[in-house]
Amino acid sequence: MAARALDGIRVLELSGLYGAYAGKLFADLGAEVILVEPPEGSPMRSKPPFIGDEPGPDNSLAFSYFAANKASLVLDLSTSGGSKELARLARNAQLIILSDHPQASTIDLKALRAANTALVCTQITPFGASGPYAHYQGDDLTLMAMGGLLTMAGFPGEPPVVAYGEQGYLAADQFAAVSSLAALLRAERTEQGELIDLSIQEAIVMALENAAQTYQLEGKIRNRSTGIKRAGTGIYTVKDGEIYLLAGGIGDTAMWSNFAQWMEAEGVENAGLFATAEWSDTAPEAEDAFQRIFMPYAAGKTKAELYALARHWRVPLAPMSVASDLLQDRQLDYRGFFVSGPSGGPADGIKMPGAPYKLSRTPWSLRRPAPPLGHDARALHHTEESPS
Amino acid sequence: MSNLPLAGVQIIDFCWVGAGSYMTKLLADMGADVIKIESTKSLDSLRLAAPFKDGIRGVNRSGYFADRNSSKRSITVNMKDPRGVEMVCELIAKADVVANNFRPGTMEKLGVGYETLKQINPGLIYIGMSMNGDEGPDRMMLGYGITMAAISGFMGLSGYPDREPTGTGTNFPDHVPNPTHGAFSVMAALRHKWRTGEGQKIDMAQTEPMLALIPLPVMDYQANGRVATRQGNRSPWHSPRGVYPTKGEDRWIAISVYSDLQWKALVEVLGDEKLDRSEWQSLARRIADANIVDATLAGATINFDGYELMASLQQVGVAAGVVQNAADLVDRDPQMKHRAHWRCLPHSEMGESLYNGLPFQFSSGPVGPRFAAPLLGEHTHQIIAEKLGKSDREIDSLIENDVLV
Repeated sequence: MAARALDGIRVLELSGLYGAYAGKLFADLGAEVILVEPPEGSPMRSKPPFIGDEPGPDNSLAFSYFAANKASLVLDLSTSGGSKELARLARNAQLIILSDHPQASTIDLKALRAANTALVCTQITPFGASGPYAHYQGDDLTLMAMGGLLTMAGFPGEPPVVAYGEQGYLAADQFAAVSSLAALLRAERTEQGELIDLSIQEAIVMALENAAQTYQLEGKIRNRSTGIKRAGTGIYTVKDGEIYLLAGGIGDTAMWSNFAQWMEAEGVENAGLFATAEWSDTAPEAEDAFQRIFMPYAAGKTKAELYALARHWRVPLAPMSVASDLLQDRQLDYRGFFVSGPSGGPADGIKMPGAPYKLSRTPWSLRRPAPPLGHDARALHHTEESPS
Repeated sequence: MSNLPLAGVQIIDFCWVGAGSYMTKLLADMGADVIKIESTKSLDSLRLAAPFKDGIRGVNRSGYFADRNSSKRSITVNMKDPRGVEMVCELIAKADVVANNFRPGTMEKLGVGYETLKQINPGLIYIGMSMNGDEGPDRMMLGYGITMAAISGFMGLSGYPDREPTGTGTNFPDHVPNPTHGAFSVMAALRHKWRTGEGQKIDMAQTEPMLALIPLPVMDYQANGRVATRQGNRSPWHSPRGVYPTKGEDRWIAISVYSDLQWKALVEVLGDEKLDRSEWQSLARRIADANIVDATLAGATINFDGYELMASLQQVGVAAGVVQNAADLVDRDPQMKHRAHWRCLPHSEMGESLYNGLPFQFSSGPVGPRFAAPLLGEHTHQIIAEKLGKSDREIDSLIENDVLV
């Protein structure tokens, strides 16, 4: 068995609809992550879609992905017994991740830390633990609005549109994992624990690209831009779907000459235009000219064919993939990216994303399916009762 | 500052442009000593990316570069000169981590491939972050954040159902998925190194963290045969959930209603009788009527100031948030101010300039950008003297001889 980078770290995850990806990053590199659930189960167990579209505590696809590799323990934190059990577990844990657990308000992280000074506690909230908006409600959409990413997504003058897949929540989870592991590395060396206060709004602000500096340095406010085009940049329809093309590259890179060479080698009529000194992809008629030359060629090629040709000619181009493309993608297949849900779980045999990074000595691993509610109660109580 | 979580960690940073530099910035802001290997002969193109201080282009004037390179030192080295490569290898011999985001093979051509470096430093952690990873038939593809958003399926799923996809309007994978996953994997490898003495190679394909963040389209396709589609701002299980106009030019508010009680509270706050329909007290009906609910709600919100409406709705427990832009966040947002998110750091050419702090606070003390982004080669003398023990005269001579440039 390969070594695991985070072996020996015990994490208590008190999550709801967010927080789980932070725990997953730890679990997948070998930490023991215990999902502490309320008696009715984690809210994520009720999140559609379900396997076979049949609701059930073990059937949520999201739960089967985000809770894989974790153990489950049920504690009713509204009772003194439940709180005491959590305190006992926390004395032998290295990290607590607390987000929108339904009983979050009963949890006193300061007290748990006082009993275990090397403990790292990370709390994820919409706006942070204190401040004028600390008591505000927030969900992925309203936080993407408040965090400034929403205003850049969509068509000018029309209502902005949020990114797919709750990326605001997930941004918070990712930064929670990063900050927690940094603090844990220090705790293991110095015995100094930490209380980390993470704001989802602020995690989203990290994604604003150059918008804040563009405002500070040039006084310009970045806004929505879909439909405002540089020629050869954007989504184009091809034989079997769509591609995203960035023919000119970004900034001063020399992509147009590559693109022109490609088109000329394929015998595309009038493609010499792109290599001339007069060609400017920001000129008013440039996109029309571009489409007249490129679209008849693109209409005869598939996404995969164009992607392969673009790689050869060093032009940034990508297929606009759908699920079936991803499952058949030769590069992802070569790397074994998608992995089958572990046997014994409801997602047995359903392929899900695997390792987001390959560590040569301490590889990512999927070891057990998402747990049934309370699955690990006996094992965990037993551990706690033995003298440590 | 020695109490910072990554104090003492040495990183030799070959990263350019977006995601890679953002990853090493996170580590530098948390205390790692990051030495950025640059050259006047081949610039990190982000140094010439807008915006610029006073709108004047210059290698030390980009705000975009600055924000991605806080807390780092810069050394210029000509990697085409063997003496340059030798000095870099001496730095690497004493380092914990080497990072790059070139296409596969580039580090080998520069003379600093993993196989060479692990001979010099067996405990070394080496991370490569190319678009498609180090192996596989498409490993040589070049990519940008936006093409990774396309190929992962993320862009195609972001937008309105009946319009062309919009994505985020940014190179999203560059700013969150790849920097955070890279940083997490490096820190995990550091733990292994400290426990065992072993270094290792990390191969991170920049498409894969984005894919790991959008598991459901692939899983739902297999489990239920469903092909995911764009949903706009709606949720299939809640209504209303959307973005609605408020007073002012191009001003909007996002509102998410999760319960019938919240709906009742929303109707009361807005005080518009067109919303007060008995059948809309049930969630199922609001979902069925989502088009009319949204249009009616938009007709009501437009009479309100966005911030006032947000405060009124929040007071009755409804999630509402103004669609804020960079000016709102930098100049006015009281929560950003409370958390001191924006940091103004002195820079010798740009003056006081604006940096993102980290999105988390430590109770033990401040953590975040420690000093401004480096000028090109600002620390060449300092680093070569400190790490390799060379005298000023030797260093000057290496500069004159086109080595440390």
